[in-house]
Amino acid sequence: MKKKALCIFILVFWLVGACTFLSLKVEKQMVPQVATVELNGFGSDSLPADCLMMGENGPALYSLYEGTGWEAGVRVQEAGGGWQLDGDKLKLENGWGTYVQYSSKPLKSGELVDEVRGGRPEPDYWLAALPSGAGAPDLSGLPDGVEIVEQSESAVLLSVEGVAAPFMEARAKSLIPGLYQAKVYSFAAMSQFLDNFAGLGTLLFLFTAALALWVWSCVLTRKARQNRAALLVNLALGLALLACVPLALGAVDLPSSLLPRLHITDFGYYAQEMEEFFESLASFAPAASAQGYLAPNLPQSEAGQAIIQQKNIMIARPFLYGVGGLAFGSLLALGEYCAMKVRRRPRIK
Amino acid sequence: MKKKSSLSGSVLAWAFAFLSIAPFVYVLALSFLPQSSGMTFHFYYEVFLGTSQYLVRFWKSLLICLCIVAGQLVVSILAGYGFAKCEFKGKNALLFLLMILMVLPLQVTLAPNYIMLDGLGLLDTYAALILPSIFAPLGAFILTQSFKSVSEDIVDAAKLDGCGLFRLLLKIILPMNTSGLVCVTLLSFLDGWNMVEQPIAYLKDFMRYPISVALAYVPPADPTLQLVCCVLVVLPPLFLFTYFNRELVEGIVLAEMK
Repeated sequence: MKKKALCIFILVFWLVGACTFLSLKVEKQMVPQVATVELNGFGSDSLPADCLMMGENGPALYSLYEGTGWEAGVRVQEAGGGWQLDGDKLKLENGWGTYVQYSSKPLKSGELVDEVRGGRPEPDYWLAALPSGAGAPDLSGLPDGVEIVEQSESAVLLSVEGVAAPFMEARAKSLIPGLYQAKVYSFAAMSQFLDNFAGLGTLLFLFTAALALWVWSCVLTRKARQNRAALLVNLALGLALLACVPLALGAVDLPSSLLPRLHITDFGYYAQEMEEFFESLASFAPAASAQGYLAPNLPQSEAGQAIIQQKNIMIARPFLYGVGGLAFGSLLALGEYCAMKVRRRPRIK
Repeated sequence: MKKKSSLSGSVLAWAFAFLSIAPFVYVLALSFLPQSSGMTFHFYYEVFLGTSQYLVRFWKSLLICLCIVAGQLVVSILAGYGFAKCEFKGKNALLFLLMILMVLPLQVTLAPNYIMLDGLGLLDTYAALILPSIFAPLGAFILTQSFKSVSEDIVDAAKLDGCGLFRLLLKIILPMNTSGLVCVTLLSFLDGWNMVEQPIAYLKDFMRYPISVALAYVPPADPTLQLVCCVLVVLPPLFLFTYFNRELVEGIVLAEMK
């Protein structure tokens, strides 16, 4: 009973410890980033119409407030009905407060947010996935610094010279109103997302290695007194692996615009986003008959080809690292087993 | 007749066991079944991954409890040894006072402790929770009873062999009283883990509240979240009880027998 309890609870507490580090990261990552407009009530009582966004119950205007207790931190709340749409402006009855103009994700009342101010403009590529049957978008009046790189029936690839980071879809659509029906992706965000696969793989490595060591330790507890040294080594290794979790998490920084609305573990959402992104890119490839049926289905732009190559390199990493962790843990166990065998071998004097 | 009474006894025991376990099963089952929808892991995600507030508070509470347990063990071992094995004037009166202190309700000592902690400038710090709990009398009482079971002959023999006080404690008295030690460890841990009045009285900052108190302030949007927190909170005591089950029973029985 004692041994079983110890085995089970060591795993439970290890997981709770790892979850603590993970939750610290997840909490930070899942906070939607928002660009805000401040109204101080003097002179101006109107906001850009962009501030109006789709809330839980229709169009909503969100303002910031400081929460307390469990809800400490900067949060958003739906501003009351004291606003009126007047052309491209929102007229407010009470002009005080800080209002959300753009957000990296749809917002919910009471939610914690990260207010970002004036990110450094950086060149980027935007991929607009057009809804089927919507027809070609009107991209006649593109602003300065924005150019069409490739276009197909279902997608448009645009190069943008300098746009404030982080990427927010609503901000992109306000810059190019012709894309209001499309789903807009940023190459920088997708590239950042793919780069994180190595960090996520390292995390999986740590988890699977710890799991393998735990299984081996459970086997060793059958003769706990004889295997005390090996069990202590495994405990130290387990703690070391746990200490590596925050280090691995430090290397992970997922782009807010590609994260799901509710759960960071919504893997179906990631699969869907990546599928839509890469299918849209594939739509730029020349027809198979024109380039040979065995040729890879690649877009013509260098940026498009580069990101597909990056995906091909990174996509299998979490799986490989996870298997590597399992192998690493098993090798450690095998090493311990061999060491114990050698030590207990009868010696002839 | 004997068979009948043993049957009714076991039925009664099973009924009590069921009544004791039922709340845990209820909490565990409902933590997966919120009022608004069917079975979901959403609230487990919220507590274990979605936000760090619950887990960070859990570890903080665990650290506070470990400090209390370590402190109380040191104080109780020394006090217990003094009461059990040393002769001095007023020993019985002091032991009597200790027992009176033990039966006093917590609320009685809350205000004097508050005044003392205020005087020491320790209010709104974790020390305000740890220090008064270290000097709780139950541990000293249990270990006094437990140490009395060690034969005087053994103690005298050790002293004759040149054993000093601390060596005597570490090498002879403590190894012979593991049940008592485990019992004190468990009870002081549980005292610290379940404390509610002290944090409310001594702490002002909500962020310092241990999980036992903060649980009551979990946003009441869905009680399922609180139930998942309960599952988290029950983990350390559950581990201690399953691991030290035998020693706990032995320790309590020993204290009662004396």
